[in-house]
This record gives sequence, C-alpha cells and structure tokens, in this order.
Amino acid sequence: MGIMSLIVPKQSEVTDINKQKFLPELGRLLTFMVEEDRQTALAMYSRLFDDAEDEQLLQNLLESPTRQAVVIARAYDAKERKKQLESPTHGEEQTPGFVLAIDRLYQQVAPRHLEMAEPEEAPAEEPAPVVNQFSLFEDDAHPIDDSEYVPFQIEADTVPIAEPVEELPVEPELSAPAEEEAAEGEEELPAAEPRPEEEAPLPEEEEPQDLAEAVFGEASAPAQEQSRHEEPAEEPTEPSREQAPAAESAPPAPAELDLDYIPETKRKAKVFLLILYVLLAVPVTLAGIVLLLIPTVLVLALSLLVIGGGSAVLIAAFSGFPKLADILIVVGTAVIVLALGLLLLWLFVWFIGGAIGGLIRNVIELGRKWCYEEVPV
Amino acid sequence: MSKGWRIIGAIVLVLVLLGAICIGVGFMTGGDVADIYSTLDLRYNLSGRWEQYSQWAITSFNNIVEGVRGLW
Repeated sequence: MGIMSLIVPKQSEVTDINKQKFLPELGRLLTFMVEEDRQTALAMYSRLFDDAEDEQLLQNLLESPTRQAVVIARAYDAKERKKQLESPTHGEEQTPGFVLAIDRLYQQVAPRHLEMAEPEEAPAEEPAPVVNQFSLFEDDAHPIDDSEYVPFQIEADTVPIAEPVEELPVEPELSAPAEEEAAEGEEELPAAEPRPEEEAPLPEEEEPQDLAEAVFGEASAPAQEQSRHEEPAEEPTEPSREQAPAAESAPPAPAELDLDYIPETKRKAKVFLLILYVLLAVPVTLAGIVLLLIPTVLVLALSLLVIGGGSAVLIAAFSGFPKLADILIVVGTAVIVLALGLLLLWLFVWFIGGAIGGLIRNVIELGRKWCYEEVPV
Repeated sequence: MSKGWRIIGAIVLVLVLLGAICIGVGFMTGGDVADIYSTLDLRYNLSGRWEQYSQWAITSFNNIVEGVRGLW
C-alpha cells in the first residue's frame, strides 16, 4: 500500500457539522452490535459523509441516526455475528447485512465515486488488487496533489476486513476499529516519510485507497480475483481525471431505499367496542377509585394523627423535664413517632399517585389496546 | 414512585435509628419512664385525658352496636 493510500479528503464545514452530530449519536444507538462491527459501520458512515456528492440527498436518505440504527438493526443478528467472528472459518462467511445496507446508501449518494473507483487491471506486483469490490471501499477519486488532503493511515495488515461483492460471499474480518486506525494514522506518520502533499506523485496503482479499502482490501483479495475471472467484461474502465468534473456536475439519480422501508400506520378506533368499553370502564373505574379512597383517607388521617402526636411529644420534651436522660428518651420517642408519621404520609401519596393514578392509567391503556388498531396509512 | 419509596425509606430508617440511639442513651444515663409519665401527667393531665377518651370510645361503640341491632 502506497503513501497515497493513507490520505482522505477533508470535508466541507457543513458536512463536518452533520457528521459530528450524526456519528456520535449513531454510535450510541449501535451498542447492540459487536464492537468491531460497530466501528466498521461508523467508519462506513463516516466515509459516506466524506464522499457524498449531494448533501441534501444524503440527508434525505439518512433522515436521522435513529432511522439508520433501525436499518442496521434489521440487517444485523448479533448472536450470529459473534459466532461468525469466533468461528475458525472466520473470513469465509457471507458479507454482513449491515455492510450491504450501508453500501446501498453509498451507491446512491456517491455514484461518481463508484464509477471512478472501478479500477483497471491491477499490476502483478500489487498485493491486494481492488477489482469489482464494494464501492464503499474503493475510492480513487481524490487527487493526489490536492493541498486539502490530510494524512489518513490504515494498517491493512492489522485490519483485514474483507468486503466482497454480494455474489461472492467472503466474510469481512473485523479486527480493529477503523476510526481508531484513522486517528492513529495521523500520529503514526513517521518523520522519515513525508506528508503526501509534499511528495512527488506516485504511480497510478498506488493512488488513494481509502479507509474502507484499507480495511477491507486485503481479506477480499481472493474474491476480487475470482470476480475478475468471472466477469471481466463488466468492469468499467477508470475515468481519467479530466472526466471527473463532468461526472461531478451530473446530479446523482435519487433512488428509493427498499431496505429501510417502515410502513406508516395510524390508529383507528373500533367505535362499537370503544363505546362498550367506556360504558363498562367508567363505572368500574369509579368503583375502584372509591374503594381505594377509603384506605387513602384512613391513611391520611392516621398519618396526620401520628405526626401531630409526635410533634406534641417533641414539644413536651422541652417543657419541664428535670433530667437530660428523660429528655433524651422523650425526644427519641418523638423522632420515632414522627418517622412513622412520615411513612404513613408517603403511603397516602402513594395511594393517590400510584394506586389511584395507576388504576386510571391502566384503564386508559387497556382501552387503547382493545379499542384501537394500527392500520397502514 | 420507587425512587420516592427509597428516599422515604432512607429518611425513616435514619430517624428510627436516631430515636433508638436517643432512647438508649437516655436509659443508660439514668432515664426513668415513671418519672417521665408523672411529669407529663402533671403537665398535660394524661390520665384524665385517657379516661375521657376511653369513655368517649366506649360510648361511641355502644351507640354503634345499638344502631346495628336496631337495623336488624
């Protein structure tokens, strides 16, 4: 992997802001995932923000972190995934569903990157040629000598995550958080190795391999070679750098995501059942409230009595006892009585708020459950 | 509500422990219940009030019993 594979483009401020809000929130929502997968997903979303050609389209597709968390959750089976990661044949399994889901997003928001990322025939000395790989992990679109590029180092040896095409099931090996790798990348740039923008342009085959490519490239090499043999004619040639602006000017075609489709529903009342329920529930609830009010009032009276008695005893303690020992005994008794009164007073509050309020809430909830139904809009 | 129970329970526990300590210390330092009762009786007429309330309770109970018997 060449030096230029360690660079990614800087993002615009707007994208940065969105990304800064989106990714931490998404990270919090994806805690159900295996940590490696979570980091991979976040790295892919990060890449999505970086490469998005139309921010509006991206925002429309993403909608919210919660939405994306739902999309991923639907395509993710944590138990199965753990088994896969722990199995000795790890690396040969099928592509995780969440990777496919995110890649579909990527294909919609960055079609230009897809086109530009389709590589030509790789040279023989290239250890892990990227051919017919997932678009998300290919990116040759960033110019080498762009001054805005920042170094971004990924140790592909330690992050061997395969990202195959759908028809070539190769399991990605998720072994290290990609974002951490990215963070380490800047620090690990040695002094002897100059920054990319200071360096002379490298050969074409060593041009930018992005974060995802570094992450997924190595392990997916067999699949890539296989796909190259199977479908050589389908590989488009890499467009030249002069063609890139033209491709950039063409707006990406908006497409619908079928994966994260959530049908909208609304509540519809079953009128007859609702009337029947109200007729029955109101008297029953009123009877229950009255029944609960009896102990409530009793508890209130008792608590007031006890608190009054405790206060009287406490006042009496300081009204004429000659010995301190007697005062201590009376004060101790008063404190215990007041504690009992406080407990009774709280019991009264609990009767009002917990028992009676809970009865009313449960009756209403039961009515919603029985008398309403969810129907698609 | 459960948080309320915890808070109230903690307060009650602290107060009961404090009261128990006070009573214990009072007894250990020479406190006497008979002295306390006599002092309070002298000041608040406890025995008279107790008798008064007892009479009121007994009369009320008898009235209720007679009322119930009248219903049958």
